[in-house]
Amino acid sequence: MSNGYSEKGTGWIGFASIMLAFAGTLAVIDGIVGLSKSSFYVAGAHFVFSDLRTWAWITLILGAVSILAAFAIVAGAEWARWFGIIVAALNAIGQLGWIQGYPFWSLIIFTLDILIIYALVVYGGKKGVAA
Amino acid sequence: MSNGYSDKGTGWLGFAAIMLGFAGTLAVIDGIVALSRSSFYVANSHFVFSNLHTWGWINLILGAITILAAFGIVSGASWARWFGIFVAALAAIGQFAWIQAYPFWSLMIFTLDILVIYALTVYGGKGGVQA
Repeated sequence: MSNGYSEKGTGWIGFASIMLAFAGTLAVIDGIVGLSKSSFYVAGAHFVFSDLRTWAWITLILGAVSILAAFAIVAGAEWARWFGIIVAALNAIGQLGWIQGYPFWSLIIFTLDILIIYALVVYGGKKGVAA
Repeated sequence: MSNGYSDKGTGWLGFAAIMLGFAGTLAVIDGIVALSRSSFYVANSHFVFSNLHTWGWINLILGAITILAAFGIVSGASWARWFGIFVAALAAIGQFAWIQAYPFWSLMIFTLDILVIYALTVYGGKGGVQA
């Protein structure tokens, strides 16, 4: 994808894949910090269910899956579009579930996930990233 | 880049370059303030690792590299697009990690970095800023 972005939308797909990998990285950091340095999070926060540790694992795994989805989109796989949308939606719901742990981080990742869903829904039918 | 923005997207590239320089300047200010006037930041905030001093240096250096990337894009170098995306992503992760020290500053710089990634991904293939 060095140049020649002739068709509108192919750039957005590239943006979606970079944002998936980026939001995934943030979610992985989020999860690792949740497991290794719980003092970073709001003390006495309440969660939809379970505790900080469980949510950190959920976020860590969803983040890793997001990064995989990013590679699938760059590879141009047909299923990658819907996989990316589902993963981004799950990731956003996951962040919603433990937003009390650290509101700013959850809001940031949530926002990025919505951007990804937009890009994949609106421009996902254009046959992947332009070469 | 004096005038003649005929092709759609060349304006976005110019914007990306200016925003890289601008976000870099903010990050440098952020870093310098952290090193010279730590009382500006939230007292007893927790960091992903290390302390305010370390994060001040990290963001100061990332800010300086960001400004360099801005010049690379203005000069029209083809590597500058990916370098800019990479640096903006790193700078965003850097801000994400010490957001607790001063949430609003981190959020502002983070948002600008995402805008830069958008502009470089979607319009970066257009052969640099038009003269």
